[in-house]
Amino acid sequence: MPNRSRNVFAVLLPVAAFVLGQLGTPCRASAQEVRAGLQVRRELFGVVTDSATKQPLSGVAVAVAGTDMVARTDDAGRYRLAGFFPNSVSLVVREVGFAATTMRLTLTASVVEANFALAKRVVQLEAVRVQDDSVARFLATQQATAIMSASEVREKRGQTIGETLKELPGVAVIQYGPSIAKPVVRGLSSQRIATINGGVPQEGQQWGGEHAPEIDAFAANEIEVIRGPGTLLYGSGAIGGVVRVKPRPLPTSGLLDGEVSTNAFLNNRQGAASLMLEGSELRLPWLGQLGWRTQVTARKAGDAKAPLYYLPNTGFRELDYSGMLGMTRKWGQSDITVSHFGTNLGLYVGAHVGNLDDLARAMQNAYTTDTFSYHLGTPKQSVTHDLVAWHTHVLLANNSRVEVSYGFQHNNRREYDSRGFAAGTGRPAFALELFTHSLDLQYHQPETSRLSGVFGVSGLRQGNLSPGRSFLIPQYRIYSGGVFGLETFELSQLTLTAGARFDYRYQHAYQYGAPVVISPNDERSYAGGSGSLGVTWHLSNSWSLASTGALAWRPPNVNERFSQGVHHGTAQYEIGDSSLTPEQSLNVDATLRHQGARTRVELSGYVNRLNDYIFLEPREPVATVRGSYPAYNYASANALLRGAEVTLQYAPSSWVQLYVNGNVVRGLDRASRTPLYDMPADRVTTSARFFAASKRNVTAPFLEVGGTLVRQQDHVPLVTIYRLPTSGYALLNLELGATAIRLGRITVQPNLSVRNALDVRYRDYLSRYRLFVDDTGRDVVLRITAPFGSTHKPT
Amino acid sequence: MRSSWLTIRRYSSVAVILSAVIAGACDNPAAPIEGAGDPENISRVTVRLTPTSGVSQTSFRVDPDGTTLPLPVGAAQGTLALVKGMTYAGTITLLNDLDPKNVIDITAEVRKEANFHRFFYTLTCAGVTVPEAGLDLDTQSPTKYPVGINFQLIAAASAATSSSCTLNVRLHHFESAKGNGLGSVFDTDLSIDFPVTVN
Repeated sequence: MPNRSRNVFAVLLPVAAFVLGQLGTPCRASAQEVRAGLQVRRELFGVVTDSATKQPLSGVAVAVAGTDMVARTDDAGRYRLAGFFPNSVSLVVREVGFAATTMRLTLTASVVEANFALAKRVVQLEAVRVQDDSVARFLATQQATAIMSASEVREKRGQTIGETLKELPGVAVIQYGPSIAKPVVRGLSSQRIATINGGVPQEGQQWGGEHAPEIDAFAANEIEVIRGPGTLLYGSGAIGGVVRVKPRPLPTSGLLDGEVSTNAFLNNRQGAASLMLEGSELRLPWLGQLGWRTQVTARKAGDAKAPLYYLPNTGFRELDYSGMLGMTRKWGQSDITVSHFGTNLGLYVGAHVGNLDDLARAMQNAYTTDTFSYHLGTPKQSVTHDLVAWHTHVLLANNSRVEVSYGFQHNNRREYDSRGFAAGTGRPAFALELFTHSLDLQYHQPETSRLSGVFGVSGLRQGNLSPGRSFLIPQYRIYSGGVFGLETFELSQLTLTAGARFDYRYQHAYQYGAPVVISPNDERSYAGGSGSLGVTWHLSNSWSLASTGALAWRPPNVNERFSQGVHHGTAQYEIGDSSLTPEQSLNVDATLRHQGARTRVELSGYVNRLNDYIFLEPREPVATVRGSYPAYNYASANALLRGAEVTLQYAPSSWVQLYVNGNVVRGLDRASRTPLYDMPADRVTTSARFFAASKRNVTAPFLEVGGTLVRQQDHVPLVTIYRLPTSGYALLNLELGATAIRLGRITVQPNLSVRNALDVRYRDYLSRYRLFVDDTGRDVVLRITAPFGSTHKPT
Repeated sequence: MRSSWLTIRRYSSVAVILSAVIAGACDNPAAPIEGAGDPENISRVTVRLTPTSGVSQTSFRVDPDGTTLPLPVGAAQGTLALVKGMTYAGTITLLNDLDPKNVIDITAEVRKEANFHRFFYTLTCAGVTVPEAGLDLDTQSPTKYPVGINFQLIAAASAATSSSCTLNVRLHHFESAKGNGLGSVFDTDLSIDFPVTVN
């Protein structure tokens, strides 16, 4: 009985806190301290900084030990915790790359300031992120991982989510102008990369080169890219890597906060704006007090400009909106997200060609204009993606917990042709609709100082409709399920991780209804195991060496087995092969990390041996009444991918930061010893950032000078109709920004950058328009973020 | 814990109801597709030449899967046997007859979109020509330009005798109004050869 009444009381506390919170501002409330048992309503606040650089750290979790109260720091490093506290509490601050810090406070006043200066620690080892799902912890420990923090995302946010990732180690993008950017991780892309959006695996029509992830770039708070297989936790498929897009956590304090973000891109005269509102004190009958957030993003872009001309019909429009509701209770946490992504994007007219003659003509005499336009003609795509995601985690004894994630996604893709007699009629040439339900259940075992682990099951049901008039891929149904387990053992200097997973996939492709298309009814199931073994060796306080060996597999997708048709914007016919067998990957990688007081080093190397690697093999052109077409068969071969990434950061003084990142990938067909198609060119990104002293109204202003150096791509297959090799190029980039500028009562986070400042003409090997036109020229980008609301008031 | 479970249950039931509503969304891929198949496929191309006097000449070619791969277009059926000194009235017919129950006249579609299309006829036979003046016209204003669904073919009296020359027919499809139809920004809807003899 006493136990139950205490629980009831505990549930009522937040309600009481809310009611009392309405009585006035925290300061006034402090004057009228209200006693509730032994606990008193108090407010704790402070700033978290990096002890070495003195820079504020954003997104850092500050937790009250023994409770599930957590706050995250804002962009100025500030946090605020409000609620009922006993007279003495411990605050625990954890952040990846820093030593966890605990501070014991004796609370005498009702408003208490507690500041933290975090010291960098070895690497991302044992980094525990409170409220995060445990996956990041495991992967960050052993696999090569790049994390873009909230402030980095804000500074680098591109026109699409893919473009935002462009400069991360080991990442390249396949681009169709500014509107389509598809991440390539260590030479692999499309279905080989799992994109996890807010905990749910993104299921769009991800297979086509011109199908980019359907995610609002403004909704991403943090982005994490894991290089190498992620199949253990994300299922068969993710043999190339994982891109995790994390929305910001729901607020646990504040009545109403918000943020206005605007991006302006001069090159294609694009305006983009996003408005986010959130709060923690929404009360609903029956459910109690909830945290909430809503966000609306709109974007409008016109034709992109290369140094000498505009690329007609490369503009796009995007409208995204989302809403999120969640509760944090003693038993754990639960939230629901509903989001919509919608884009209408043009494809460069000149690249959309028919037969071989048209292709040769388009390559020789590219179609360009001297006049800018926002007009969106054909060919174009209209894509919407709707997502409902529900996560719950329930805390059990000894820090163990159960996590459940359910996702429903509806992807609706319409492609409008400029060719064929349907052109101009408003009817799409292709239409594809994908419905996906996914469920993931994880049990995180009680942690001891030596052992932690997670076990789980996941399932997926997917249906694809092809309601268009033309055929590209058949309608299909997929059921798949997996079981996995992962254990981490901590020894004094070694962290060992071992995991295994089993997956089953049933794939039913339905016969196409038209007499002309030969696409039979086909049922097939695939089963396979994945395993991984990793070790991190803490060489010293500042050095560590990590290595992972992983076996992974991926069943062939429906498009690889049954494609039959032309891809818009690529001018290529693709023909599937229904007899393809699953890909098998054996990947071994090693990462050496160093974190000194002024230096940070990450050196990674990998060898990925792929058996039955599926790729598009050029075949002889096929003759039709329209003439001859360039055609490709889906074929498989044994391949070998090797590569390395180097990242060096050095701060010679507190006002200079130097950065160099280099990437090399080599792909080889093991039988013919010829290079694989579509591998990124060797690339070095470098920058020097100079900080000036903070002034009264300006925090941490900086100027950055950077360069992108790309070597020519000469590792290309011999047999091809395209003149494939591309020359090397060098781009100069400039950036001017500040962590915060205070303008009267508001604080803004401005960033002005110039990409390709010298307006250099170049063609990137992964740009799909490279056969016809140059890549975009100089772009001046202005990004301004202005947070507002109760937790952002100048203190 | 009981009250906690109550809130979990309440919250879950909201989520489950929401999910159930969504799950009702229709995603049955086993259902047949209405109007599937591309009616814009050209599966049969026929050239017919009618002389001012004498027997008309016909040749056609069939693409067994339209413009969908992988089946290649078949060989021409029938040869256009030209007589020197003769002028022919020519017509071209494009059909989608892949579904015998639903044969679509694509020539009619081209005629409807005449301002975006133009046929080109070129011969490898010396002394045989298709003059631009003999092509039928579109409906652009103020100036009408050739479409070429109907055309005139002239075998000069001085034409060279040949047993194996060809008539190449191309159809250019323009993204915007074609003007005179000689611009270089177009897609090729048709590019196909027919065998010709000249005697």
